[in-house]
Amino acid sequence: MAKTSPYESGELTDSMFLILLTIINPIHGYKIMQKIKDMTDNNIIIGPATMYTTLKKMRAAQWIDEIPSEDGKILYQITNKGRDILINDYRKKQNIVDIAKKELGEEYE
Amino acid sequence: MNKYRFCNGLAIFPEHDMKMLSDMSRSGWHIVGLSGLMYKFKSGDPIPYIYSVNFEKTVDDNMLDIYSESGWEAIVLNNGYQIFRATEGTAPIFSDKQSEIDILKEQRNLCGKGALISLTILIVFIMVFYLTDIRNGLELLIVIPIVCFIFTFFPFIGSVFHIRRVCNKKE
Repeated sequence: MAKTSPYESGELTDSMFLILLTIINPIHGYKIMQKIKDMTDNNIIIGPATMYTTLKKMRAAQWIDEIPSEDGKILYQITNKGRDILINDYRKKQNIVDIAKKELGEEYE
Repeated sequence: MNKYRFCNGLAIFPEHDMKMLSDMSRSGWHIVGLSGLMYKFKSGDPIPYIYSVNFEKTVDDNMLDIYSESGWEAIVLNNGYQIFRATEGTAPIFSDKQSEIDILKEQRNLCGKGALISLTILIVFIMVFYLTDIRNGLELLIVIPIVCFIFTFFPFIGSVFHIRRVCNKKE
């Protein structure tokens, strides 16, 4: 377990990574979980406590914005800072996968 | 008809209490609230519900929408602790360790601060009464910092152990 918080290091957990991906366009909090289920063919289910805490922490870190919608609920959307963090982490993950591809060869594709 | 059971200390043995609530539901007694240190149950059909506790500092509608969308119904809602219920097979409220540890650390820090402050007040109280001869009933006020200390120190210890358990849990 890393000692520094991922909100400081920018090293995203899988849940954080997926949540950021779903809020590129404004979305209701409760719809994020369904979207992640759909995106991952029901393989990843984010629990509500994990979802809510992660959103709260991301907001405190200014990775996401809360926009009030007409029905009184809150919409979440990624900020420029959040987008930078997401893209940074994406490149890091991509890089490690590229290395693995080279080392493992085609048969593991 | 109602039944009551003592709360074993939500912050210290949360799993123990959640299992008890689940066992009660299986035998047809469903929790309707927690007042003080007592769980209150009402009788109904036996249903194998599962229960979970969380320790969010504050509660809002937005949060409840997210829970109900996941199949978790709020049973006890207080700032600081919340109990949720779902049918068997519902995915757990925490899906990764990081988020669970984040919340527990918040709780630990808050209770730790509270315990430290009430302990300081308690020591000042004891010194004042030890060094002076004031004996006019005011000394009974010492109960206040003692109670505050108990209700912050035990949750503090509870969250320290809880964090350790979550850290050692296999994912």
